[in-house]
Amino acid sequence: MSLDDRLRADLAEMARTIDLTVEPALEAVLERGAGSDRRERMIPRVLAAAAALVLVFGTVAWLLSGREEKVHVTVGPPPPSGTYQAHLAGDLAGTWRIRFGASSMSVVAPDSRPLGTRVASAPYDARGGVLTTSLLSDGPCSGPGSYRWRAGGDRLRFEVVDDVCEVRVRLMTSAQWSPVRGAVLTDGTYLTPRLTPDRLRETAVAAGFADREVDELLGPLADATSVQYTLQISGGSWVVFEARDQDAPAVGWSGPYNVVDAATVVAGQPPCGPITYDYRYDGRQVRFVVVEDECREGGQTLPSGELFAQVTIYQSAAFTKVRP
Amino acid sequence: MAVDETLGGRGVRPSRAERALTQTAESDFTAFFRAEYARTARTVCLVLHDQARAEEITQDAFVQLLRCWEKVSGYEQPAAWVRRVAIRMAVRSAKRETMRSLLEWRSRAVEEPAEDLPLPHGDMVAAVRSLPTNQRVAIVLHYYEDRPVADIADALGCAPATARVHLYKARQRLALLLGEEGNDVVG
Repeated sequence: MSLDDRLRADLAEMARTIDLTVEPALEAVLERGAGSDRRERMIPRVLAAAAALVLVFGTVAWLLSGREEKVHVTVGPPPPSGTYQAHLAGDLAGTWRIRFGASSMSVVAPDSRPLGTRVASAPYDARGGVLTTSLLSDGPCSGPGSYRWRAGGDRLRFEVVDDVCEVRVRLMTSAQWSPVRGAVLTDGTYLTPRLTPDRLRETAVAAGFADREVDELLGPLADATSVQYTLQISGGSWVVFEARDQDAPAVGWSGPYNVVDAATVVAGQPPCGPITYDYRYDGRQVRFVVVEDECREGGQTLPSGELFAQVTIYQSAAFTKVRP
Repeated sequence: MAVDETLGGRGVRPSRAERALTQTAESDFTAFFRAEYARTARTVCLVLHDQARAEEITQDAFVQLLRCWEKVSGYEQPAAWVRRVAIRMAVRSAKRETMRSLLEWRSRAVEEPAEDLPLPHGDMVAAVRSLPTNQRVAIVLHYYEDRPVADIADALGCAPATARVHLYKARQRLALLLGEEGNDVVG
């Protein structure tokens, strides 16, 4: 029997063993339905009474004030943009970043423990002061959540409007978010340590790749004991060299780049790009997280090998600056 | 349906025709409940692996149905409507429970069966229970409810491609745990 057939048969058998009593449940539902019906009948009366009171007091106040009524049109604050970070405590301890793009937002976790992965992205909609997003719906959340945002000085704070996802609520509302500041990535040559295939495997699995995919995609490195990556940034050009064992470095990727701010660098251009990286740079070492990869060379969808390569190259270790 | 007489007779009292309609509607709802409750509750139970909570959630879904029975009973498939509501409530409940604290969630992740610890052959219950919520929902909906990927995505509130990944990963894990070949085509 195949796995599919066995799943169908066993789940049906499991379901058959669940013993249910229908009549008591029916009585409970009818009773609760009747109760809610009574409550719902009361609500319009209460609302009508409240509305009448508001109308009376409003009219009196208007007559007493003798002022001309002004119509205010509420326009929400401008939607957030750029990259913000917050230091969270407890279960979510660490520095989190939220990045607002034109139509999508992303979150970069301090490490892969809280969410099972470093990055999550999703579309968002911000209007009338309320931001609605399905961020984390691929992981711990189900469905979208809505938040009201307030910007004061350079701080951004979210208040939950409607969200049943506890993790997202805590992430968004536990702290104030402030724009990322710090050293900006500069031209130079940056080098990873020698990375074993096992290290690359760990990185890929942590990023959500299945073991079988990793086996397949690591195939070209099967006979290597280590690999080292060099990133050369200079004159508007971003070049990655790969050196297997004692082989001479060979160009693995090259393209234009743009350092957006102290947290974001974008490399490549269509059809392979843009690729957005979150980075943390201390003037000596830089760590990257692949946030979005729009490399669609040769097709409409992102080749799994492309994302695998990006993740393993950039997220396996820090790059240390060896030459300015 | 109960008539509200608590406001000195000024309550909304149904007319004779409305009362007749109400009785018919309640009779229809009762028949529908008897036909569909068990199947819906079983699906929810397979998702939650907690019968008491599954029955509670299924009843919540039927209470919602009762509130809008006049409208939903006119649908082509009211059974699909109530199952969809129940499943979405179950998914939300499962995730709320699972995500009560990330610390617990991390512990669960650590406790998930390691690749070199296959469960005893035939222990499908334990294998399905060990799946993360999204994967468990995908498996139950696909193999028990016979739902297409689009419906799974709808229940999980994610893109169809993501639902397909959940289903794929769930099958891979189950194949590993049950010592089966996992190369059948899904979807």
